[in-house]
Amino acid sequence: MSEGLITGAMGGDSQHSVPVSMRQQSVRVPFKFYGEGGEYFRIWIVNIVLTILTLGIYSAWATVRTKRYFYGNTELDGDRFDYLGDPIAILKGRLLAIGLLVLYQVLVSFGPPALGGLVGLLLVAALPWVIYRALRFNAQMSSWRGVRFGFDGNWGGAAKAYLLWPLFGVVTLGFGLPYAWYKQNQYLLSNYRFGASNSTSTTEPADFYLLALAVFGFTLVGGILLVLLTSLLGITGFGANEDFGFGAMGAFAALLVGAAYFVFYIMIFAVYQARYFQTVYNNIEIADNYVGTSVAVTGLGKIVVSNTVLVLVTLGFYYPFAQVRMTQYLQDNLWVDAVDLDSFVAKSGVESNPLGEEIGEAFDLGIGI
Amino acid sequence: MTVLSGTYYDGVSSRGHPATLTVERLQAVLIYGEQRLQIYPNSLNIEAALGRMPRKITWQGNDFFAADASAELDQLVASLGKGSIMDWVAGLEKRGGIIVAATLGTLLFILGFGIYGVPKLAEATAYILPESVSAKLAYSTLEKLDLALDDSALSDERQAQLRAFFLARGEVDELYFRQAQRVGANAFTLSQTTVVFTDDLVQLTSDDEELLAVYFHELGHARLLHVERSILQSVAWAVVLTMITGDIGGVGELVLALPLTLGQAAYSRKHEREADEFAIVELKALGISPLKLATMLDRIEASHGVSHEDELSISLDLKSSESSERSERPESTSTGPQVEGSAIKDSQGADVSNAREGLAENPNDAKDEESNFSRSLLELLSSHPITSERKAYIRAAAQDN
Repeated sequence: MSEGLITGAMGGDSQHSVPVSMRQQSVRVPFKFYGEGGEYFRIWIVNIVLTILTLGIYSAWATVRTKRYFYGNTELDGDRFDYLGDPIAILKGRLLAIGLLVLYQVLVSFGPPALGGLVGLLLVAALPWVIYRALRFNAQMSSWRGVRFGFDGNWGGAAKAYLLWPLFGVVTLGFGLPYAWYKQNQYLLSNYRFGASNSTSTTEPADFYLLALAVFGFTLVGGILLVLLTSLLGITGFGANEDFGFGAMGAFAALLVGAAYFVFYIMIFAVYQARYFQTVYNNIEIADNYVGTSVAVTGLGKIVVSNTVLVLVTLGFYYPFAQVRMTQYLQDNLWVDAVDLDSFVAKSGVESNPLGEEIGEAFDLGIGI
Repeated sequence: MTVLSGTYYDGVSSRGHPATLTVERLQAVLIYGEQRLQIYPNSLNIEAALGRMPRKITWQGNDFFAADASAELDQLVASLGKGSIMDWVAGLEKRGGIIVAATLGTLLFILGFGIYGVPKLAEATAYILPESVSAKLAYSTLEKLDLALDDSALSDERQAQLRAFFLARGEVDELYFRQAQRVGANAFTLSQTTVVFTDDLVQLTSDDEELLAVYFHELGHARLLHVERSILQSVAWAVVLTMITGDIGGVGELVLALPLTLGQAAYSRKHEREADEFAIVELKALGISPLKLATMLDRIEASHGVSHEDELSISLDLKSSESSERSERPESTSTGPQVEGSAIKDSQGADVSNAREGLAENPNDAKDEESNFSRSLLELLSSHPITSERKAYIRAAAQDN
């Protein structure tokens, strides 16, 4: 959610990338986040109770309130972001989506078999459209200094980025996957817009291959270390036979090894997240303003691991605190090397078909960078 | 008269201007820099409070004023008579008593829904599910199981005889025999349509009525739609938790997985007991002693060469390695094919022989002290009730007659 906002924050004139030394003289403007865990907890728990009491209807209002809290507490250059989504529009979209899902289920269950296949194909074709509409809705509902963000993509671009390129990744046994990430990132950032200024991403395919290599390397090295640790504790590790045999071992040692695997598993996510964040946010340009980040694997890892543990032991009630902590960390490590943040101008005449936006919002896929 | 400080945005350029808004009964005036803007007080629209964030005040037009949150602003909203339902929500968020009540209420709701709602919902859905779905489910599970299983070495006559003997006393669509080196003596229910027996199990006894006892246990799983219900329960849990925590990806899924696993294990233990009860009733109806089921549990335990106390640490170890071994295990909690294992432990039995060797080499003195802790942990993690308890239950039931 906060990611979507940050995404929004990066728009830009489509210019070719400029080496750092040749950029115009810029001022480093940090992002600031004012959210507090305790404060957000109150909003979160009231949202939950009202959603339960209204049998889910309030969820549209809850979504808007949550987004407004995170956007409105994010500041850049003295001014805060804003989320302008209309709960009624979101509710309509959700009802429509549920209706379509029910219709699909009915068609598949009671219609002729061929119909099911046809509807399935239609769904696959509709998916990029839904993604694109959701991205656009979210961008248009985000604003800073009274100027809205926008997203100019279309169905074809989304189909390539979210169907064709991932398929290419699969066909190439995963070797094409980083390239697919690259293409998706290009699709997003060449279409985001702040006011009338388009954003650009200066990433190259190699950046995403390095990212994949980092994750793979971490998994490999970490995995080997863990197997060593496991054997050190007197446990028969992965034997030659497929049986997963363990020697005698107390519950304590088992828990220790379990905890190590747990942390390792979470850290794989953290490595991926941190490297992805670096790759994307160190390469965004909008009207000669460059975004930069100092998010690091260790810093993010500490937060992700402790958040996960705390959410677990509190049966989920730590979740709002975890969300705020994570956002705080990301914003604390994000800035804009700004040339001019004052003269962005709103783009007029960008109203679009509300029906599509509603469906897009209904499937709010949380796609962002 | 109310004077508010804040920032004015003209809606065209992106820069905000420090400004004050003075609201009187008949007119409102916004002053920023040298500029002065007259606004009709009735057209003012004041956003409900959200935390300590500045509150947006709008009127006709694209420009707006972001007022610093203050008590005066709350009074202004009241005096203008413009309080909306969102102001009421903001009021709820400010009251400590409400927050405490909401937290406790939510906790109770989640627990109540998990303990009563989800199983009921899953049960109701399972019974309206077409049987073809169960057949498909069983087929795809068997396909995966067959990677680890071989065709039965039992003679065709023996298979046909057992099949006739079982099916005449309780119908399922498919009954398979399979040879399973690593699984040992065991039986699985794949869905309401399909039950699988391993050769080792059939060879454990010469008394077909004992095998019938195991068959009835499996039939209990099948008739009570346990596999279907487990799957639906996982789905229901995932939906509920996702709704509550919002859309979470990545690490969030991991957070969701543990309560899911524990919840599933609890349901699964209940399923074992229900299947035992089913078997007891069926056996009694045929005039066969339910003790035969207990005897089979003994035989299966003995065939796996492990006593109940030893199982404790084994299950524990297996659970801790669950994620890496998930694909190996026929019964997994949420994603893999679902199977109701039989008398003792499903695939966990496969690892028992190794574990026994380990135990023989390293006798564990601390076992007794640990066993209480282990036992409660196991009860939490294990998907099956501890076997000795089940045998005691069956024996008690046998005496009731």
